Amino acid sequence: MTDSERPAQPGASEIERAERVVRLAWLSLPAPHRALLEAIGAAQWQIVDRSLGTAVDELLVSAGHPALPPRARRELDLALGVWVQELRIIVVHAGHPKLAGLDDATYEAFIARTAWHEWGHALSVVRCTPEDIAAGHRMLDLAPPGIREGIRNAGYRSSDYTHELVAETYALLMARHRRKASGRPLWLNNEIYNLVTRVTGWSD
Amino acid sequence: MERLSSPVGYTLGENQRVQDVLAVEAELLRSEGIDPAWPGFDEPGKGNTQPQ
Repeated sequence: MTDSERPAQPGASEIERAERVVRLAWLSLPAPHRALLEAIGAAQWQIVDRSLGTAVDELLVSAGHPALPPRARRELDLALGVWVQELRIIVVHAGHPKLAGLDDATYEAFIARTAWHEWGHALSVVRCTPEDIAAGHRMLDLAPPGIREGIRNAGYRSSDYTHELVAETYALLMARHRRKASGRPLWLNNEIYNLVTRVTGWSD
Repeated sequence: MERLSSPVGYTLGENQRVQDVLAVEAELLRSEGIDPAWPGFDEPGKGNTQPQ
């Protein structure tokens, strides 16, 4: 099947395709990171082919948790991935409209990036201090412009800035790691790097 | 059960495309002399190795 022939709506094969990439993204993590994620209960994932607000709401309710508030459900419907702390699971929307029509390399790079982002997000939620959260707005100002604008334009609340910054930086460091690069990149502010190393255990 | 807080998902801006996100990443990698082309994965074997 060529890219132009790829269906806009995913089927079982699209879920399997995303599942494969997330599994490989997991295996690409440094072993100590996998151990840390297992320790905080963030080593499970599920790939779905429907909006995450609906999918996560059903997962929560079926596990005996309260349903999502309508606003949270609407916001989650726009998301490509999410870590659900109560369920200790990452959920990825393989059928998200923004994934439609991507070539194989772009699709694989972005699904892997989404998984790395969510594992970084999970570590941030569990391990950041209240002071880290309070510093989110200031820290975001220190981020590379493209990353900073991406987070601002996605509509997050300022109380989410630290988690999103850690998640994005973690995904970027993993992108470098896949390309055999290590150490603090020159484009990354030292304060952000120190935050990410403390929260995620990044050590190369 | 008590809600911790509503989960916050990974969201792109309304007009932001996947290619735009990867272009930002590529620019950063290129700025330090790293080839931004996606290197792919070395498939270690078939089957779901997700921890149970």
